Amino acid sequence: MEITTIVNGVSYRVDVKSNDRLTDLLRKRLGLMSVKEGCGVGDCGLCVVLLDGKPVNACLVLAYQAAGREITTVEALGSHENLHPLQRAFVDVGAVQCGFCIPSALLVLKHLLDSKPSASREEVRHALRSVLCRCGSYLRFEEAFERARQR
Amino acid sequence: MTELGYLGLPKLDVAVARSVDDAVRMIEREGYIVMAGGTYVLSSITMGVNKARKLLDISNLDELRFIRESQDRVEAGALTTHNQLVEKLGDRIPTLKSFWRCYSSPVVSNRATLGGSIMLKNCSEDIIPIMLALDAELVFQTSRGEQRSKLHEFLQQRSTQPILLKSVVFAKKPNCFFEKLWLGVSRIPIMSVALSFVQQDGRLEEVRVAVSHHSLSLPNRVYPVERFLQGRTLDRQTAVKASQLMAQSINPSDDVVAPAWYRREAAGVLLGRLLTGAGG
Repeated sequence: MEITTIVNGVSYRVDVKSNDRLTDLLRKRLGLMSVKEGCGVGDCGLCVVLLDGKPVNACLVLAYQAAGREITTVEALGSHENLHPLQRAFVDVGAVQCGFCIPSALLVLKHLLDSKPSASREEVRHALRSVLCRCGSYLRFEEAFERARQR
Repeated sequence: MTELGYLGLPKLDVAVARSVDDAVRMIEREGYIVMAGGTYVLSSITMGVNKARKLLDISNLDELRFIRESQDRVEAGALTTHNQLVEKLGDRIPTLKSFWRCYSSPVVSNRATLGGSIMLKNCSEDIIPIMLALDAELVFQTSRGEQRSKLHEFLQQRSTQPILLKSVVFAKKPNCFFEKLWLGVSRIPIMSVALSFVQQDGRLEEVRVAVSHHSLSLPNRVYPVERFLQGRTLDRQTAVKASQLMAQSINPSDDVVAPAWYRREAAGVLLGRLLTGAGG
């Protein structure tokens, strides 16, 4: 079926199959490599994207369900010249180790920063539960959130 | 189901319901399996444990997405997400905040629905023991009209006849508590316990105690503990005795996560904590 969806501010008209997941559409078809395939069952959070502003696991959304919706991936968060405050903070505190989960961590924290900038430490930790960071960089993520909030 | 290292879904026949009547017809006559938020259905198909291939996507049925409150009851549409439940009712039903604190992956709560969790009849769904403690009643839509069933009765029914859950009606009890012992990212609890009651003249009335534990069990109420607590005052002695009775009244199994004796002990400890905390 043909759907129209807005990804990172650009409108795409694409033909999708009923068993295509949003991950398949974003990564394989549109080439957005920040959307990772991890567990594929919604546990690791590596495929998190913002769907109409809310974080979702793209592996648990069928591609056709994105019809008429707006999707944001980390590619739209900032540019090399103009990083998003969270990206800047991640660099400043050295939050990135292997980097695999960073797009998801950034999007989860962006949603928290936008929806509840006064989030407590407990709330930041709770939000990060959605992202499995095997390097264990959670304390740095927390620190980066705090810096971004202050900015 | 893997291709170049990627997971994927097998071929699916997905129909999108245009109305509740449309959904009822497709479930009853055409054998479609309901997909609400998709968080369980899609992951279980990906893992190969769910062989359903005819899915009925009801996520566009906005008439199933609502929360209506009266003085002492709430009616929530089956498509109300876990996140919406917590955000809209958490202040008046504080146990929903406890549910939220124990949520394994908060991102999932933006898609997972109340109705989807209940229809799963699975211990991975923390909302089930909470709804048992809140005396939930289920409202189904069938081609013969509306049907109602108490949640605890529905859980005991062995029939797997497909049916469309329209809404869930539950009590707005401020004295409802939830506690869970679990392993990090796993959705399945080692043990979770929900408790609710009404206090009249210092005595416990309308007591509900529900537990959920290992993967092959159904969440259920613990009637011997409920009967014991009924009419008693909430003090330390009551909490200790109820805790002991709880450990004796449930029958969990061993699995790779925890042995049965540990689960029984955990259930007693969690109930004791809830009662002690409720008593201040």
